[in-house]
Amino acid sequence: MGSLPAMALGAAGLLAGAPGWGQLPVPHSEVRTPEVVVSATRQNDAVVTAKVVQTMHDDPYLFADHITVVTEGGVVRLQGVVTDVTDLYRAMYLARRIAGTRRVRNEIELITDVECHD
Amino acid sequence: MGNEWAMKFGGQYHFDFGLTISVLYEDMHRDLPAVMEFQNERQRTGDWVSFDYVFPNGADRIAAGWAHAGASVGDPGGQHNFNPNGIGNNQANMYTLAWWHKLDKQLTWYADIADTANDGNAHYDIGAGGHGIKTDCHDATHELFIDYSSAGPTTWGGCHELGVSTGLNFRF
Repeated sequence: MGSLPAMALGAAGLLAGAPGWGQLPVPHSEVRTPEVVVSATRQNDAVVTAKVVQTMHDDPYLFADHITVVTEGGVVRLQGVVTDVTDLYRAMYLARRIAGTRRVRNEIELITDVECHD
Repeated sequence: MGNEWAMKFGGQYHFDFGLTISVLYEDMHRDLPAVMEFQNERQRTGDWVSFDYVFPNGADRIAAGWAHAGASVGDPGGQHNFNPNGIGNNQANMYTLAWWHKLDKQLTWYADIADTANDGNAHYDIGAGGHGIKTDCHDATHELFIDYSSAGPTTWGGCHELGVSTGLNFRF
């Protein structure tokens, strides 16, 4: 016996190929089980995170030692601390370029010179 | 003696493309009897506008600002060159410009300049902002002009002060 996800996918294929049923508004992703979708999303999230981290590391000016990148559900979140507003904007700029159409959320804390010295 | 009150409004907006605009307005009041208003130097308005831009290259940042001190109701004088007929002629403007350039991930070179232009009876100073020693309004007073009328050397009005600062900043 096939597993439940495989059966569901098979059923979807039959429906899509059946005469007169091809026009049904049933997107392929809706037929998949949640487990399959989540697994694919997690893989994509990990790839995006790795790309953003590598890009920040390779940048000649961005000091990203205290920045953490987390991607969940396609949303890229930048966390941590920077002490220069230039780094903050640069991190956001690079993350957006890698993330493409995905959302990038800035959760970085900026600690300025005044706060450091006073 | 007189009651005093003050209010201050400020706002700051960050644009995604690297620009930050800051504005500030302050209004300070000192309630005095009319006969004492001639020495009411504490009542005035103040404004500040600043533009701060971070370039997309990740290496450069520039900032420009303008600060303005409005005229006060009175002026107790005390400056060597105080003009008693110039009450209200004590506004001041300060213009600032700063540039930061990152040499690598942790080393940044900066340079900034501030220019304060005082009206004839105004004697505002440049705030050094933590870099070096703050200039004092009593500095550069020649001994010949020290009249000790205010228990020490008095200041000059209408000065045009210019401050420049440059240095390196390393972040760990």
